[in-house]
Amino acid sequence: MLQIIGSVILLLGTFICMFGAIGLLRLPNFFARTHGASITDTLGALLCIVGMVVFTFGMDDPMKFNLLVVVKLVSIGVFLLVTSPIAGHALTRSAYRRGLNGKGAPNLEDVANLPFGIHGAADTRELLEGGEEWVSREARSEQEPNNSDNLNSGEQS
Amino acid sequence: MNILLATSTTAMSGEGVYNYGLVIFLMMTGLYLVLAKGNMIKSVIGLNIFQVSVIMFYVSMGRVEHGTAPILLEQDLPHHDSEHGHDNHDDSEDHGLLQTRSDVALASTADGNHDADGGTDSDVHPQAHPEDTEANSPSLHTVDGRTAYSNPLPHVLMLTAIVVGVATTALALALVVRIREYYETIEEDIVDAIENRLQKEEAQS
Amino acid sequence: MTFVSTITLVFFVLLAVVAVAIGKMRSLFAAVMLSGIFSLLSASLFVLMDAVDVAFTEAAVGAGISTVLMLMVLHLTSDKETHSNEVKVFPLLIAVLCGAVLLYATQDMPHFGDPNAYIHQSATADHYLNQSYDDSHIPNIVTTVLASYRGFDTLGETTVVLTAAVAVMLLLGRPKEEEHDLSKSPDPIIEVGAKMLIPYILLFALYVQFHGDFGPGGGFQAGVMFAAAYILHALSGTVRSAQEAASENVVEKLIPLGVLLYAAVGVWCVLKGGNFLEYNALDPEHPAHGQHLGILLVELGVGITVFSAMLMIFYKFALRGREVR
Repeated sequence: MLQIIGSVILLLGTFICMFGAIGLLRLPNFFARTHGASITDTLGALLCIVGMVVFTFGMDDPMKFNLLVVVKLVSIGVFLLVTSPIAGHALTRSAYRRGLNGKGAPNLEDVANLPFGIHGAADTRELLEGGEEWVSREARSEQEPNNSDNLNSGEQS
Repeated sequence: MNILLATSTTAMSGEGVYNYGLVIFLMMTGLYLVLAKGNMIKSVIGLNIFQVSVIMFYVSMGRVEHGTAPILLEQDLPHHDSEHGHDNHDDSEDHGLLQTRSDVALASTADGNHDADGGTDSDVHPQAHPEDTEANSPSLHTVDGRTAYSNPLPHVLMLTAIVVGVATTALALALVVRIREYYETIEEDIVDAIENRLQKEEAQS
Repeated sequence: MTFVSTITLVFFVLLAVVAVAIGKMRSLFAAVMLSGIFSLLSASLFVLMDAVDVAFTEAAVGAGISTVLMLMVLHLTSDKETHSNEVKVFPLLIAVLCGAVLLYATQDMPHFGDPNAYIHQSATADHYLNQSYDDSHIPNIVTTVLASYRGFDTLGETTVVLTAAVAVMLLLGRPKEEEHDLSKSPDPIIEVGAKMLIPYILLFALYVQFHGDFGPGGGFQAGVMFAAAYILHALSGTVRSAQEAASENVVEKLIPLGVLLYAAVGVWCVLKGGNFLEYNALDPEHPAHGQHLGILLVELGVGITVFSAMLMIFYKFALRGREVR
């Protein structure tokens, strides 16, 4: 019984990933595509993990390994939850700084006036309240936030 | 694909030879990518595809139906005499996570019959132990009362091959970087043209 | 066909599709990403074919290190597209002819999964499966074969990794005038995410190194994962900050240290009265303990060399200056 529920959840997860893939093909511009793909892929992958966990609880287990398997699956799920959105963020951020949104590369003094969350660390420092600065590792070298060459140098999307 | 299913006279089980056909397709794709003079990075990727296809060839040869990975399962580990007689399912203890091997009783497998024609499965033949009266816990991989494992020898060889492959790839990529710095391009036909022109200029001077 | 073989067939076909797509891609970035997908698909296929150690290594090395190195080369060469992408007739003809001949030859091959195949009847495989636990008390047969029965091979392979690292150091070692860090723009989200992950990656790499006796794992995979943690540190910040954690001088000295450890174990066996790399001599009353000790130490040596070689190769690529066009 639990196996059936687990399989249904797993199937649901794959369907959601499929919607993400369809969005990747059909949405008009880069930012819409990454939004669609990264959100649905995270949810789909997590649902697959949940389905597998439920399935594992439904399996009979003569040597009591199932708890170990579930712990491993949960840790994979946590890992996915952390890395998948960060990957989408990195992709979108480098595209924005390269000016892929059709409005050209941003003037980075103007970036400091944008809502919180689109800045680099050098800009974030000025916005933190309480006078405490979040100093990143490179802040000592006083980097100017020029758009430089990340590894995500591919603009072909 | 029907022509590839060999009609042989000996009784072979197994699922045909489709895997070799696909492996050869991959191999030829990689070969084409290397031979067709194009971008050097694509040539390196083609070499990678070729390597992976060869590795897949070996590993697919080592696979055994109903076999499992060549890591001995609990039930096939011979134990010392003091462990005989433990209960198999002791629900009062937590067996799953921190269980050491010695607390699980030897789920002894009945001494299976060897195949008459001498073709043995890649099985583990349990050592001479006094037979326990517990029934063995059959798994998916039990054939004739013994556990079937895939052949470990191709896996070992291919582990080495993968590591050597990545070393070669790193070296090839370093060469690509140096070529780019010298010729300002990584298209092989442009490099050829530059080299021809340089040679002509040298021959003239 | 059974369920497993259907999935295997589907994966094979997917691999073939990805390989053809790599050939037809104009954009190099897409081709490199597809090659990462190719490695991951082939790792899944290895799991389906019960080769878990091979799958682990392929996933770590192919989908991890190879993709990172190729992306760095793309960055250094700054070519985005390949210009010459039309189908070349002569190489295609060679490939097709070669493929046809090979396909004709596969008709005599043993069937996929056939347990009566000739390869499974060899006495060597029989000995490995049945005797390896008695010889070494290690359940993972692949580790035993790799580090003990074929230990000399593995010493050579570790030396190959060392040689590759030395060659890359020679090719890319001298930094250009404008030293150029790959990842210059700091991002708090990526930094925090990396900081969350790196300790667990290191811990898991340590686990894989020493748990290779009981499950898939061992020196290679662990070394690559150690290097991956440091590479993540470098990519999320700058390479300079990663070098505060593992400086080039230290890593440079570590590369031959692993091979030295491996060979030293062999020499120690000779000093104790056995042959080179005959671990039984390490503990004459309990040869299995000697084997276990020997395998542990040589896997450690392999892990050290692979870690430092991969990290050094990364450093050399990452710090190579790029001419400003």
